[in-house]
Amino acid sequence: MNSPESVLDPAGPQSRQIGGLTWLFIWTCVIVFFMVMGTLVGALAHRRKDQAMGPSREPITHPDPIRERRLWTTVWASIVLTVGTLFTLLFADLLSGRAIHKVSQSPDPLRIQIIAHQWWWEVHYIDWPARFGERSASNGITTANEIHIPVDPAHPVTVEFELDSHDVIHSFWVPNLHGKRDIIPGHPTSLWLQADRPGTYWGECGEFCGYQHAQMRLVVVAEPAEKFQSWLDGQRQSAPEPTGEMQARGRDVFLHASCAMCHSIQGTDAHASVGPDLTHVASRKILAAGAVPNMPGHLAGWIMDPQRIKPGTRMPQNNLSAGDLRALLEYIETLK
Amino acid sequence: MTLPAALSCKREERSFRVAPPFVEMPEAIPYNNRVRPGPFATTTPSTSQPVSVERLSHEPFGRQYLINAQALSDGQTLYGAFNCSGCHANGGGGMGPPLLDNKWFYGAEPEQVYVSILEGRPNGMPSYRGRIPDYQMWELVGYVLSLSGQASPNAAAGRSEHMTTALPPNSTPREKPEVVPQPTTGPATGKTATQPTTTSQPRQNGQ
Ligand code: HEC
Ligand code: HEC
Ligand SMILES: [Cu+2]
Repeated sequence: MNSPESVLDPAGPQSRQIGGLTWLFIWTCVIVFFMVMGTLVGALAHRRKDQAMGPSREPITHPDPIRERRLWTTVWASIVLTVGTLFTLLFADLLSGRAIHKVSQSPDPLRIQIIAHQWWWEVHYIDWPARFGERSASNGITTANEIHIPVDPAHPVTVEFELDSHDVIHSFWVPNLHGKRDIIPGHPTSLWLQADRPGTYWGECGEFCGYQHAQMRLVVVAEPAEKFQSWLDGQRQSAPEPTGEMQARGRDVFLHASCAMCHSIQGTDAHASVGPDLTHVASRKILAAGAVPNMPGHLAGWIMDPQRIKPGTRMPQNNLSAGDLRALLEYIETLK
Repeated sequence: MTLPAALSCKREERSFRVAPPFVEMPEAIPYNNRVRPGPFATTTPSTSQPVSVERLSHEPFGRQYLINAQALSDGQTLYGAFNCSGCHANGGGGMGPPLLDNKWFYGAEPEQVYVSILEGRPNGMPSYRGRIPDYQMWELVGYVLSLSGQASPNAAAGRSEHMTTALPPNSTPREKPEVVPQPTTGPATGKTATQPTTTSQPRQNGQ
């Protein structure tokens, strides 16, 4: 199920607050707009009274107490109305902030660390509620650009994102789930959210961060607890051993070409963290932060010439022979 | 006013793709280093005839990368990604010798630096043969040389990606590279009495 990427289609308590606030602001602005326009039209339609002539055909210049009172009443009413509206909006804002804060409290959150890079998201599952299985020192999960979270109406699971950046300022934004959170290098910050409706929610970097900022997307998959559980169990596995000669050759290519100097695959000797962890890359929906869908053709194109698909990306072109590339693809396809 | 503005538009063309030469790398680059002849660490013994370094400069690629800003900056990215910085820091040297200075164990000709990276060097410099494509090796050569001002200042980076007290590559003065004997024991740091080895100290060369 795909939802449009929109603030006005909230899928969690936090975004519902923000969505409500957005509507309040929109309607207030609509009303103010029509009031201003109404006044303008009224002023244009009515002849100015002070141009009226007396019986002697002289302009009436003497003070008119009724008119004076009306004038001041109008001025004061406008001031009170304006200030009142602004304060109402301010209070609505404060109340939403408090409400968001309140629904975000949880003693047992799913903790996900996100490191924003130019131009992709490094994702670490550092802790999860005990009912999804014991978290031990060795079974953390590292993935990229795709985040799975559980939806469980009976026991809502709060997700705590710990955000950091190692290069420039980025901003984490999944409009259907929460507002933006800027990520400033060296200032870890956090964001709490919940999803209460299963779906696939797109997110992106909300702060210009360089050439491929527009292709720095991520996808949040909110799924029922059982499905999340099986995803989590799958991600905790190391990469499977290659079966067959071709796959074994593919792994060899991976480990002996440059790939292993930038990527890691758990269960092999590749432990570098310049690029995304590829242990379960074949299970992801997108490649290179949404630049292309994850399909064999795109994968081959990406490996040989990432600069054509995403110019400027931090992965260089590779010169692999056709045989090596085929073997490598076959191996990577097994990394479910 | 408009003239310089118009002229400054005519920089070299930048593209994110430095066309990688699709040329098979020779099995073993013959080793004939006029600086320090002798054996070096390699697992694939050379079977071809020794040729001179001069011949290597006529290889189809190489020097073009020293004058190409994109290649130099790709070299800079790769220098971090391939963990050269793990041993050479950001040029100031660590367990490996500093690359910011004009002292070289194995020569500062692009071909010599290329061989340093391709084949490794006996006192702990690993070989990158077969690991990284040839064009990336040349990009690294370009970046390494730019650290000591040997690359074209028009192409060299105006800033580095890390905090460093060294000058940015495009304003590093070009000094005549000299070849120094390599220490026989201990880590090869290229250290001489006047030579700072860490980036936290100001450079002495040219200051
Ligand atoms: C210099 C470091 C570097 C090298 C070498 C490198 N990569 Fe990458 N790779 C990256 C970076 C950085 C990204 C993320 C790019 C982005 O999204 O902008 C990436 C992304 C990928 C992706 C997409 C992953 C995802 O989840 O979206 C795949 C697949 C991949 N690389 C495979 C390879 C293979 C196979 C090789 C070896 C032939 C290789 N890479 C060599 C740095 C590198
Ligand atoms: C494991 C540590 C290590 C890594 C990683 C490493 N080097 Fe080295 N490097 C050394 C050591 C040690 C030497 C000195 C070798 C000697 O004296 O025989 C050296 C020597 C060199 C030289 C020759 C310097 C001279 O004075 O002639 C160059 C050039 C060089 N390295 C470049 C690189 C580049 C580029 C990379 C990354 C692709 C890199 N190194 C990665 C340790 C390393
Ligand atoms: Cu961005």
